[in-house]
Amino acid sequence: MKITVVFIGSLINKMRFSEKDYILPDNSTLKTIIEKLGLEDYKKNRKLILRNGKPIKEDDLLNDGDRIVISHIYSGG
Amino acid sequence: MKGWLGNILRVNLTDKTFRKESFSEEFAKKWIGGRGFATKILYDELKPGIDPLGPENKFIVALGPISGIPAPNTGKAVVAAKSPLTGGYGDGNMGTYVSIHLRKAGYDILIVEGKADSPTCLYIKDDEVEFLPADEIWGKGTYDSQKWLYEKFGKQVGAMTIGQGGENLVKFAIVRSLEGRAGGRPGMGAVMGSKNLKAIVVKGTKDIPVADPEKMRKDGKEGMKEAYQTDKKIGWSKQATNGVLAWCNETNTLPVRNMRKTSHPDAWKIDGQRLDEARVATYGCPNCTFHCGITIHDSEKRESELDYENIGLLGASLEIFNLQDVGSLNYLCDDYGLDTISAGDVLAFYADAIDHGATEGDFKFGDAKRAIEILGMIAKREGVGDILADGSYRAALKFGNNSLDYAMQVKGMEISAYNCKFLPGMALAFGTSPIGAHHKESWVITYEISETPREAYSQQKVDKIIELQRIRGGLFEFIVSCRFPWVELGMDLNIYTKYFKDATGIDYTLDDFWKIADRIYSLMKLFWLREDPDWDRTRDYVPEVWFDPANADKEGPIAGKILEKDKYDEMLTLFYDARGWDDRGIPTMETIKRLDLEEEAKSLPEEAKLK
Repeated sequence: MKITVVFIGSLINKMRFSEKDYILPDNSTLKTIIEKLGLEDYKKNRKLILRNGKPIKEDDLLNDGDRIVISHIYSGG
Repeated sequence: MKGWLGNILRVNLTDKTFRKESFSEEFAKKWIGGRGFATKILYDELKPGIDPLGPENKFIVALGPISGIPAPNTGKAVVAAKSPLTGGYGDGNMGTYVSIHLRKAGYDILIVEGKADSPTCLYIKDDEVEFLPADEIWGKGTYDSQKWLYEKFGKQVGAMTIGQGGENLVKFAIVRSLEGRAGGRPGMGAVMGSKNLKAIVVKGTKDIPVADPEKMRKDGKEGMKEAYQTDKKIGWSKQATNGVLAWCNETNTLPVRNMRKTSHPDAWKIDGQRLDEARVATYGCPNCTFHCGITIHDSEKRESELDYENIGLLGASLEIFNLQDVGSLNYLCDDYGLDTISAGDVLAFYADAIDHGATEGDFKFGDAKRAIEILGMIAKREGVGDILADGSYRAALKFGNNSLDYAMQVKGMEISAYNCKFLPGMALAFGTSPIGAHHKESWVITYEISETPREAYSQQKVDKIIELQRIRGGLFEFIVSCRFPWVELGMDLNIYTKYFKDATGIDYTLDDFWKIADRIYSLMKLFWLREDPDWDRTRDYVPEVWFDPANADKEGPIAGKILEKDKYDEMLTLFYDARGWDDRGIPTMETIKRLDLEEEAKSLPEEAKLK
């Protein structure tokens, strides 16, 4: 399946891309992609992950076409 | 008394007099500072019904017990007055060296009364006050005015000034300080203008007495270091506030086309990454270690300091997706001394009103050149600019044809850059913001999207709104310090009880602070009620267009979704119940007693009696 990962904020500079497609095996979860990206510390570093604009847990299965957005935890300035 | 100087400087511009007054420790402990002081003083000293742009109004600069003391982001000041935009209590906070210098001059509060007979620059140097002519800079923008002030007084002062917007009584004129700092969205610049007060300059040279100087120095220094290191680690200031623009576009919360749309394919052109790439300088407030003022060259090669609110409303909401053009609109707002949020909303409303046939005109979404011209007309009150200068609420009343439905304002003040057509919690946060729609009071969008069902109208959301109102609209506004170390970097709120104790010697808990926050919010509601004894809950409603199914997104993740008015109203009741307010949104007698506001309640007219 194909999923799209989008970075917002300073992670773009760290990861060196803002949007990329990944082909993953079936039964992949959010944890699969977090490990692939090396972002296990995302909560500690105040990052938020949404799938198609909605919350997602680490063990949730990904679906073909999912858009995973990884951003700073914005708090309204 | 430690922490506070205990002094008010009261200046009268009409007869060019001034006097030093003292306030009691009881007053200080009950209202703490900033917004607390300003609300109480304006409530006590202004007669209901006065013209906000008349000499009876009072312009206040109010500081807090840690203002100006070296600790994270304490270089802030609250400016306040009765608002010409809303008719209620109005205030704003801004980064400025006035914060430090006024305290070093020996004052926590400056009250400016009356009206000067000609353009005036108020110069405060420790115990001396001078009323200097400002004719040379009257009619000039804030950049030239500031330059003139620096040439005259040197750069080692605190200075506030207004532009042509304030002089011409534009109802959303702000006060400006430093390169990109502005404050006082509800027309505080117009109040200065109405008094012929072009600028305030302060030079203070004394020490600020604190209860435990050594601990204050140590804790403050550690806090500033922690803020610096945390920001370096998480990288927030890389894109600063505008990081959120791309996120809003992803989550369908971006204001596009006068908030009729929630995202746009060209939004990336004005996002945080593009802003960072265009950066030519970075500015910040006093005592800040993670500056957020990302500055670019605008289309005229002028420096323009941008943040998300500017870009969201002068860019996305106007469908102007060119950062240099947005930079130009922002530069002009800063120079004229106009609030960028209201200016963006007002321009978008005008384009929308023309689109919907409510009025005639030649302005269209996406037309940066015409937007620049109209901004100038607003600042100078020329042509249609004279109507728009009164804000979208009053302009809608003039245009008619149901245009009030899509004037994006609450209580007369324009909504910050978040589209809440399918965000019930954030819509309620804007609806219940006590000075008109402002994101500084409470902001719950991340919570609403990531920790609750977005579509829910729930007690859980109400509780979060109030929790954040107590912190953002309460603590940070009365202690007078920037909320960013906590809100953006995640620093512990208890540092503020620690700094407060270091400064004052008083051992308040966060719960003590929340009670004071509730007291101030309730007094702001009494201020409104005294102005309008017929006050009702509809004043806490958001614009009709957010309830209109025809305005729901036609495609995308929230297609067909829109706020439901009956459910919004039910959630409003939950909010009132939680606050101890009646069905009008006014504190009950029981709440008045609990918050020690019985004396204040005595001045309410008979017809507005409390339940």
